[in-house]
Amino acid sequence: MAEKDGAYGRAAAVGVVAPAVLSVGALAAIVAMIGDLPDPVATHWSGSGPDGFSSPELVLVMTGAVGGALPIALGVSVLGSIRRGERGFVLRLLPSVALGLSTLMGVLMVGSIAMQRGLPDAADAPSILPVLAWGLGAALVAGATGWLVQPRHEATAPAAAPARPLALAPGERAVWVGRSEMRPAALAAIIGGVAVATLAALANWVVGDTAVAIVVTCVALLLAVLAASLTVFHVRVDASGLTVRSAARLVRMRVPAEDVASASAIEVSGLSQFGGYGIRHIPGATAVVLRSGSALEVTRGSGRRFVVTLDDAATAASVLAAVAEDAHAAQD
Amino acid sequence: MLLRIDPDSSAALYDQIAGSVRREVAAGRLAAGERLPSARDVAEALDVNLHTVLKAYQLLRDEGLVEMRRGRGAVVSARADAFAELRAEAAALVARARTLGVGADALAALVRTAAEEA
Repeated sequence: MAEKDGAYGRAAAVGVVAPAVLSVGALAAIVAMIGDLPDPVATHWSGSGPDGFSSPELVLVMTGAVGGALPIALGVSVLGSIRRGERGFVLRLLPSVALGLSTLMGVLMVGSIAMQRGLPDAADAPSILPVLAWGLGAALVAGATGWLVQPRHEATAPAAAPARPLALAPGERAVWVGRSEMRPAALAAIIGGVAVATLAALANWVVGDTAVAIVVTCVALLLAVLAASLTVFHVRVDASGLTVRSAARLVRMRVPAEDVASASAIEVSGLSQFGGYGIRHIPGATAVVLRSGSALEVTRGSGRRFVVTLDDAATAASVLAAVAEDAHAAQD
Repeated sequence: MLLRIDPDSSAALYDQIAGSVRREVAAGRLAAGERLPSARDVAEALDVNLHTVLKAYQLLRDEGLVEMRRGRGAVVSARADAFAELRAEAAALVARARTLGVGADALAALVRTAAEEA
């Protein structure tokens, strides 16, 4: 199959192996220096001096999590799609981002620790700016190298077979009405996040600082509004075309029946094809992706695609194809 | 949820809408616990009166296929599981009828008569 270009091996090397080696190296370097460090060490800077401190062990955990586990997770996320033969901008980008992030974290962590060696008190640590500049520079070079090492990805959105229009008797009307929803586990995580933010807001009003309480309350409100409005979309296919709107009617997207060139049921992967979940804009397509899996894909007259994830995408596609056929017939 | 209506048909529109919902449940595309779309959405999509859709949902509630829950609207009841259980037997019956040369309408009439006599 499409493995000829070596994209899988290169993506694994750039997005998984290299970050793993870098983070193990960074951890080893920090462990080697840990005897010479003040405790606590400086971990946060503002302006020219440090203003945040924590134990050296926490630095190790941070290095492993943000410099190792997170980039590797990014790198691993695209491998399945690449192995299946999918190619695309995001699939080439994510391993490079993983390598850049892991390089940045490695340089920042090792650099900030190395300059505190032999200091009696971490408050005397010098400015972080040179280390930050080196880290950003190295990350850019590493990311660019990672991008160039991978083969060129010709976007291969698997050509979907257009749905066959639903057969209707003369005068019969067919519509499809349903919802695009997240997986229950993802929804539970979001509800959990809103609950935590709400508790944090309440706690700050009761015992904390008023300014913090105001900020945290705003975050909690924003999360609640986003969760309420963007986790469920109402989807309607009727004589006027396709309408997708968020639960609180904040967002409304339409593809008029006359503008539907073809409708098909496809399988999508949120992260690798659209770079994430939610309302996504990528070159050539707009998508409402609340989970990976089956989705309705509409190609417009201009060639632009509109994608929305639906459980019963096949039926919705056949209704939309029938509606579009009628609209085109009415125009002629 | 797929809904089909034929305004020229002799059957009442609300009967046709209720029939569409029953067909979706019978086909396994609507499972127990799933929410039906709001009556307003359905009415706008089909370009029919809101009360027609409400009457269809009422009909489905009366036969126990749908429950009305405050704040959640119309929800498919556990009765849908019974539908799912009967689906295989219905398919077998249809296959048997086909080998005997009995069409779908005749078979439906046969089942209806049997149900009325039972």
